[in-house]
Amino acid sequence: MTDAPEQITLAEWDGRYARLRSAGLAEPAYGGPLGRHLAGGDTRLDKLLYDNSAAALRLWNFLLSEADRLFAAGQAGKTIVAAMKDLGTVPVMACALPDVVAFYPDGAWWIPCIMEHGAGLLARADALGIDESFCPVRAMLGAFASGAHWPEPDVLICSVGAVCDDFSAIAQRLDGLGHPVFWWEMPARRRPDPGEPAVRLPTGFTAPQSQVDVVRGELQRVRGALETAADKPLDDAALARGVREANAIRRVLAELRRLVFTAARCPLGALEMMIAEMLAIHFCSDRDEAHRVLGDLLAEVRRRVDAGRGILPADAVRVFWVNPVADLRAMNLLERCGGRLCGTELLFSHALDEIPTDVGPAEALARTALGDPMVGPAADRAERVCRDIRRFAAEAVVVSRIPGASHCALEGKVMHDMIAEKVHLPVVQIEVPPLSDPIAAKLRTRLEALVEVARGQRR
Amino acid sequence: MPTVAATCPYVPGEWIAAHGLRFRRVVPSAGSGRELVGAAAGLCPYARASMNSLAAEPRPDAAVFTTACDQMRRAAEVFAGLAGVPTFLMNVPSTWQTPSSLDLYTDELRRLGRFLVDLGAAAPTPDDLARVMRNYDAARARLRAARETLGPRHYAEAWARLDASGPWHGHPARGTLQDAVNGPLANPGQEAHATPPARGAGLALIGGPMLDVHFDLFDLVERFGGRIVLTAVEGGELTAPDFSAVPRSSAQQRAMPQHPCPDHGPPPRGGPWHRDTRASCDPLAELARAYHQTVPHPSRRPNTLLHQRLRHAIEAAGPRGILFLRYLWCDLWHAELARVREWAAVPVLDVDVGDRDAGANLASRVQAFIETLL
Repeated sequence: MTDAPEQITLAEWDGRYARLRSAGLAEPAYGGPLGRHLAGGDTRLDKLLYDNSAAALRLWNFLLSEADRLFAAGQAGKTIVAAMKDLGTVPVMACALPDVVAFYPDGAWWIPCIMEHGAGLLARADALGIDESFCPVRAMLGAFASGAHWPEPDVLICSVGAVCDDFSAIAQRLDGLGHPVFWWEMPARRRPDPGEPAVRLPTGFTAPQSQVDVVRGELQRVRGALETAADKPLDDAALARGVREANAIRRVLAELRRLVFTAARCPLGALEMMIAEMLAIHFCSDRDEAHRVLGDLLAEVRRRVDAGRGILPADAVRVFWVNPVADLRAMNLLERCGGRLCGTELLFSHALDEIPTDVGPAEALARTALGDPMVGPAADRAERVCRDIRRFAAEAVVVSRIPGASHCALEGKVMHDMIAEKVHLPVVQIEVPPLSDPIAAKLRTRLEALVEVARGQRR
Repeated sequence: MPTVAATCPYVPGEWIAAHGLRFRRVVPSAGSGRELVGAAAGLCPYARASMNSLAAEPRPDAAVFTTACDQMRRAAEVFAGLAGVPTFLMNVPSTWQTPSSLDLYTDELRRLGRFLVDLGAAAPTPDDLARVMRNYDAARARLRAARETLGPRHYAEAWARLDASGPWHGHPARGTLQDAVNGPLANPGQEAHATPPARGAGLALIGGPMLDVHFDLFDLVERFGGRIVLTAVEGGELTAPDFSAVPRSSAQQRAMPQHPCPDHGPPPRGGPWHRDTRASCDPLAELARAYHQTVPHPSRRPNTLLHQRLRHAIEAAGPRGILFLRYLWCDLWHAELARVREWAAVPVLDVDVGDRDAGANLASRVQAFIETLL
């Protein structure tokens, strides 16, 4: 059995799994061959390429077993919190309480991809008046209607205000269908006026202290909602512990990103990196296990980097990726076109940066939440992207538009123009639907052109 | 006099006019000559038309956008970068049932006031503001009284342009209260637009804000044998503030911050400025309450007020069908369509419009819809 890092198919994984088991692979309870998920309806898995490490196997199994974990938690009497839209803050608070599990129904936007529409979630959303002119996150509505993907949450907590209209409208539709939502306000972050007391946020943006105060007040209401749902107090000490645990995970992820994005040879594929980043948002419904999964992945990447080994050719073009893709296959496609992932801004940088610990936990979480790149000017977000492009020495940029998303029509151009002007790199915009097969040739052409231009600029 | 323009119903014209500025509520034009922003996939036609119209001549001296919808929030950034017009993005909270939400809105009005002062305006005294608020409310009352005589199209247009035509700005220093009283709606019976005879299938027109060309829908409906008996669209009467409806006794309102006057005690329902010519206790707080708590909108969470208003208006008007106006890529209004269909007792036609004109396809749809109702 070779341990050389490479990307393999699902069928190849099943063979490798058997060999790993024979060699003594120890797995957590949710472990097993990846092929079983295909049998369970996750048909897209058969069309992806995977990292061949045991750490990646654990990552995939952890991701794909989340529904089981949620149903088990519900049956065990744990409080189930559906956090919506804020991407990273409410779960830190929820998980600070004992016997509370938080998840993001937003994540349902990958179900149409993973199950290749087999779950019928988009059709259910259509029937409820939320058609394809909305972002693929409308699958969340179908998932709630089906009742098959998670237990009915004890509380739904959704941030509104400076958020995508798609999400806000879909969440309101959900509320109207008998899933009451606790709404909390996220103001549109603005730059401080001259002389106005201001604070630097963890994401690097600057905001008026008055806006942080507003968010802190809103999170105080969220704290109350969590306490009511869990029937337990959530004091500052518990919140501070929750912040420390979240930061521990964020530090592992930060090191993972640094190593993967800066290594001479790419030690881990774009697909696994994107999933790893997602764990930071809500810990895939098990914070401690998320920490271990990421720790495994980091150890594997360290071994590869130390050995100078990678999964892609050494001359792969270093690409920075903006926005998550609804079809996971697009990340494989980037690599097939000669690119490698060297930096991301997947809408939730505020969930990657460490939460401040030099202020009280409520203030720290408010600063973190307000640092969300999506709640401020597109120019702020573009500046952050430019900073990270320089940090990871990317050679090209992909701005991946989300079909139907209210922010993409105007934000995409602002980002494109600003990135092109500030870092002088080739930038291409693409749009990736939940199943990109019908436009795969077009996507490939655009990504190949980007890679070609970037290679040309090396000379 | 410098002009400040806006499209969003959460921007109180009173506040801008009280600063001695001319407030223009813009009804965006589908074709405003040179385009600041071209059509793009995913771009709401109304957001695009708003940017283009605000940049068209005569250009305003400043533009106010709000965060009530995501595309307009982002449009403010694009507009500010391209148009060369001072631009203010006002944070309009989506939540509306908490004291902190009202505080946020009120603070944003104060911030807007500082922006206006930076433009050269004078900060109003409470008396100034109270007087302008009375002028505006009187103008709204006169317009409501003119409903029957104006006819449906001109009534809807008058609401959409209520703040657009100078006489309504009513700055106390310029004696424009008289202008308002003697304005074109003072004698509605003399308007050139006669009320059409009450015939044909009565329809309600509800939904999103209208571009200028969309007022042709009224003519279209009449051409096919129908008539609009209710217009309840964003930017029209539906989203006008209702000072008399500011809740004061409900449990919700008790949770709201009150601004009792040390001299007169808590303000009565409708606000002290409304009934009393004396300086109001806190007219800005009253203005904020009225806009924040009585203007319905699909961005509000929860959106209960919008549906209460629409249901009430539709039940009162008794239409035989509903035209639901929305724009492609406008998620907020689009998402309300299904809910309206769930509670409406009459058929609902989805009027999905672009940024040019109603189009032959739409005409055929409206015609067929009316035929089914006759």
